[in-house]
Amino acid sequence: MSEQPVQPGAGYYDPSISLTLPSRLLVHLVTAAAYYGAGMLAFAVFPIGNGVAGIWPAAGISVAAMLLLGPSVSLAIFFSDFLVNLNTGLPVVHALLLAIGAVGEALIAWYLLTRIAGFDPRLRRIKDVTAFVTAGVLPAAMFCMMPRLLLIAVMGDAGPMPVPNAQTVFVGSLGHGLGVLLVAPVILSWTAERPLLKPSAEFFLLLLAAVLLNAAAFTATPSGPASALLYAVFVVVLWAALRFGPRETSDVMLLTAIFATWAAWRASGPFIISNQIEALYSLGLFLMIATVTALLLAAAARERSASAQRVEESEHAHRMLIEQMREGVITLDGLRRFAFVSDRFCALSGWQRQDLIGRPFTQLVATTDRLRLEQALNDTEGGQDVQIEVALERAGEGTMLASVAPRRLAGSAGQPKRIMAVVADITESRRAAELSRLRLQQIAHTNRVQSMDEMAIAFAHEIAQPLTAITSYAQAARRFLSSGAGAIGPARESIDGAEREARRGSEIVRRIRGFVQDRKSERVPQVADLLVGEVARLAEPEVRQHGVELRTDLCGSGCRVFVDPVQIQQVLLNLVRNAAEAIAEAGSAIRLITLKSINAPPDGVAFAVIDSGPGFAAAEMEKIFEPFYTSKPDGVGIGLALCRSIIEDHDGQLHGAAEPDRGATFTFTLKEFRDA
Amino acid sequence: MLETPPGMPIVYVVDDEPSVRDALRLLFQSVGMKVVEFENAHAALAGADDLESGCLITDLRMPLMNGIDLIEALRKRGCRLPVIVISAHGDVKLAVRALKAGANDFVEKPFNDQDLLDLVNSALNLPPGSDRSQAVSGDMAARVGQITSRELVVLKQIVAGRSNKLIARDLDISPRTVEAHRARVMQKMQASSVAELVSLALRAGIVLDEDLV
Repeated sequence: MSEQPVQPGAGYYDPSISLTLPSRLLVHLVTAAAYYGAGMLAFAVFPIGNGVAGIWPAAGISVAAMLLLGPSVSLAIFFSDFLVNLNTGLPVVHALLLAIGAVGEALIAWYLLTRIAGFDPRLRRIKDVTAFVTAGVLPAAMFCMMPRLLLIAVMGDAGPMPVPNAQTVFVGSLGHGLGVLLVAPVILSWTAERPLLKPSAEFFLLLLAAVLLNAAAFTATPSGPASALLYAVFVVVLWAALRFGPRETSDVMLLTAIFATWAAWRASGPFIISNQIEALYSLGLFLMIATVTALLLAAAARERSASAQRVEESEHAHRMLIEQMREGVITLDGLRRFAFVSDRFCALSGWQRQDLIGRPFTQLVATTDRLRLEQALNDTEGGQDVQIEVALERAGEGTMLASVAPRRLAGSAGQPKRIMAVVADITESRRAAELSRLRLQQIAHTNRVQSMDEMAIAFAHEIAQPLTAITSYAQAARRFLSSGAGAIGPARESIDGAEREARRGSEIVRRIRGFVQDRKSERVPQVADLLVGEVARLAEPEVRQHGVELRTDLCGSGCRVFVDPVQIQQVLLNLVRNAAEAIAEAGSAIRLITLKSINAPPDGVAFAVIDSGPGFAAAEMEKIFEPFYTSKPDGVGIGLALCRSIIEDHDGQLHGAAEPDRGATFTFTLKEFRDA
Repeated sequence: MLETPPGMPIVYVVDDEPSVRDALRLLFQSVGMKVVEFENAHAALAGADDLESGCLITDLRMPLMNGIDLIEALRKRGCRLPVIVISAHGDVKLAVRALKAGANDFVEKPFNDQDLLDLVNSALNLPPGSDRSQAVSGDMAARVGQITSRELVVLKQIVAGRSNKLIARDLDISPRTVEAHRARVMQKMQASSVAELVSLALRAGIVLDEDLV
């Protein structure tokens, strides 16, 4: 007998066995023989007369065979039953009708049970037991006598046999039901499960106890005190149900039934009251109730252990999952003390588990972060998703920058709220981000120095103007002063001019130095219009050299952005210089660049550089932002890529739009800065 | 447009830089000369027909129309006014282009007041219509006299706008030697810049227009 694989998920177990034709024939023959033997035995032990036996184990054989082999086994059942009936001296018609009834009950039970979705004949769940009783046992009991009763109803009292009275019909039905209930589970469970190759000592002990207790209980005199031993059978049933399972439980019940029947046959035991029919009543009812109870108990016990196993497995899986995570996992009790810490968390923090359990989580956090953490943990109570970054004290020394994502654990009302949190070490990633920002800073600085290099001639020209003026003013002043008292007025005018120009010169120097200095990137609130104005002044000399006019169009609202001012100036300067070069290169007729700051409601400020140059094709749009892409003969092609990086670092997006021959527009929007 | 007594020399200043114009106005005023300012080449050209005797000082780099184009346009209209170019770009090529276009002199910004005044004065003293090849002064002769023949070769190469490296390769000497020659030439000619050197060399007749690139 082979065990059929259980279909995953569906929970349906198909008991049918597939066999080759010769072995199928053999199995049918064995079934027929077993059925015949069981039938003859029943008539030998419990003949009620009138073709009815008090208990009918053959019904259990037929139902089990039907489930295992399919309806084709009907033939074997039919002939066996017919033979048994003939052997008991029934007329052929009655024997035939009884045989039809025997096949019918098995077919009905088979039909109903195989129609019940997910029915598992191993009876491991309570619902399988109830299905087995209602769709297997009861229909079999109700149908077995039907054909014979129908014949009598049609033909009247015509046969050679006396009409079975109601009591006979009832006992017969009870006998069939009992047969199915007691025998089918034993056959089904033993064929379904792998036979015990090495039965445990406990199993033999169980069987021995069942035999001894049953022998004691059923050999006692009905009125004697030993008849109470009958209840001891339940101890063995409990043992089988809790320690073993449905299979061993049904074995014990079958054993009990055999002893009870044997005792009744010998006219001993607790069920011998006055006559055989009454004894059958009480015996049958006892076995019926005890077996259903035992099967339910076994199924319940099995279900419970299976669910416990599932819980354990799922817990194991979760634990494995948690320990596989790169992040640490902790749970906190109602007082925010560590209740669980994953190995990973211990590894990240350097703490031993025993140092953490029972300690308040906040103790591990830098004092400056404690209030924020408390607040975040409080926020979880509303079911909010929270994530904060705190400095976590590591065992020994040092701190790590940790991202903590706490969630409230679902718990029953009234219980203190437990919290589970995922803790990630973001020290490294933060350092990496810091490093990439530093790199951006360096590239930006290099780019600024390079722009200054390219703009040096323009700046030299720019600075030469005030210097020229100063020289001339000073010389004029000297001449006026040496020419006499009348020239004091023009002399003062000259000196004033020199002073004004000296200031202008130093302003230019300051601007260049501020722009090109390698300094730490710093975010400060900055008025957008001031940024634009400064860029215009920086770019103006070179733009003018290209014969291009630079206009500014300010939003005038005084709104501010939170930026590294030099980097934003650098972006705008790059864009303006690109525009000027493009215009110069193309020799455009209209030579204008507009530098704009624009209010971008609800909370943004946009910056735009609009030129009247040659523009570029839409296909080039993405390419121009790639590093080392350049349209200039001597360009490095880092400018726009850098601009985009800088703007992205400021949480903005740099967009370009252009139409060939209509000029290009570059825009980016930054969040407006407002005082908290 | 210009309400000045005839015969009084006027200095016309063309520069887009107001402070430079203002400073020049005061400088010339301090020596009793009148200044007329133009903020760009177009304005100067518009008033070109009214320009009387005097001297025109123009910046080179200006938006819309540069100094060289202005000189060419003026010369095309038959204006023979002496022109002195002032520029913050001490570029040999630009100086040469300006001189070829008809400028009398080239001065680098910022300039020495006395030099500029001397140049303006000598320009004003030129007979109208004469070009820049004025008589070599005794001072100039003394300067040129100090130049050795080897230095003269280098000087000619310098005013032709060639780099030290190219000159070295040409003369088969080291760039360092060229540098030494160049320094001595500048010193002997009392030129503060290459542009000035070009101007001086032209005036002294050491090099001719044809030598220039």
